[in-house]
Amino acid sequence: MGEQPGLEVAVCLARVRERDEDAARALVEHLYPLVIKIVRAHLPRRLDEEDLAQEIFMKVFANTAQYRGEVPFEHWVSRVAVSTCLDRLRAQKRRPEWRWADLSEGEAEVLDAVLHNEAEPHPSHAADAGELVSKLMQTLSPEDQLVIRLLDLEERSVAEIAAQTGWSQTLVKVRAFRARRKLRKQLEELEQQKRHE
Amino acid sequence: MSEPKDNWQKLARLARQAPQPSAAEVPFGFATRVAARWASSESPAPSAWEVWEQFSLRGLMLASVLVVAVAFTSYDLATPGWTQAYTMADAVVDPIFEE
Repeated sequence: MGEQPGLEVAVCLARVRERDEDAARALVEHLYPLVIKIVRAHLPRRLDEEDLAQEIFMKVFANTAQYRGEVPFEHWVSRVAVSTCLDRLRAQKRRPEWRWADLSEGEAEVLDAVLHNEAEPHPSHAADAGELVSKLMQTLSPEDQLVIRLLDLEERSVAEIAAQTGWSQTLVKVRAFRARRKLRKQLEELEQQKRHE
Repeated sequence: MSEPKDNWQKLARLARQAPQPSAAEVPFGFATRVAARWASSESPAPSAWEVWEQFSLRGLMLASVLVVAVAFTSYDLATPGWTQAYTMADAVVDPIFEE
């Protein structure tokens, strides 16, 4: 996580509560890698990642009094970051669907390979696959996007996702099941469009 | 969930191999900017309890001052009986000592 050697988070946090600017700066430097990773994973379209990271840090500092030390501070910050990203995603309109014509050449190629080849597509298509997955996920609700990203792309466990989001494990599983069903339906619809071309 | 003909999982497996963004270095001046913005922001708004507590304390202090002021200015009015009794006792005791 690129932690600063020797940074005592608890001491730093106590100083932040006394509105010590130097401590706040040290804490930002310590937590930045964690926060930016979450922001990049869930960044809503057309939003600057630094702006969103700054907003998360402001929320963290404004609410330090609410942190009771029951979980590691980094976990608490992760939860603040995830909920801020979710709020931003909620503010954006969901895309109802994607059509084959909306896909770039690379995305169309990779989708064709996924749908019609029995073998696994070549890893050189990975970047296009990443773009395509991001597009397909824009048709999901923010909560479904979050679950799919953590579960299927970051390969986190259900327990980890439950801890990070504050949802129950059952809710995580139900959301994942529904979201995957929607994504499979999207893929089927794209396949049908391709056949009718 | 990894059925052989699950196209979504196939696509996700491939997407996982996509190159990750470069290491997360803190942009130059970012931490200073955030800390300065936080420091210049207003202190968090006091809770309803804190407002009530402050208001009550001020009220209590004001009430105490008023009680003392009233007691001081109206001492004679408030204790006429005691003053009268003292005067009568004084009148009785003084001649005894004068003898």
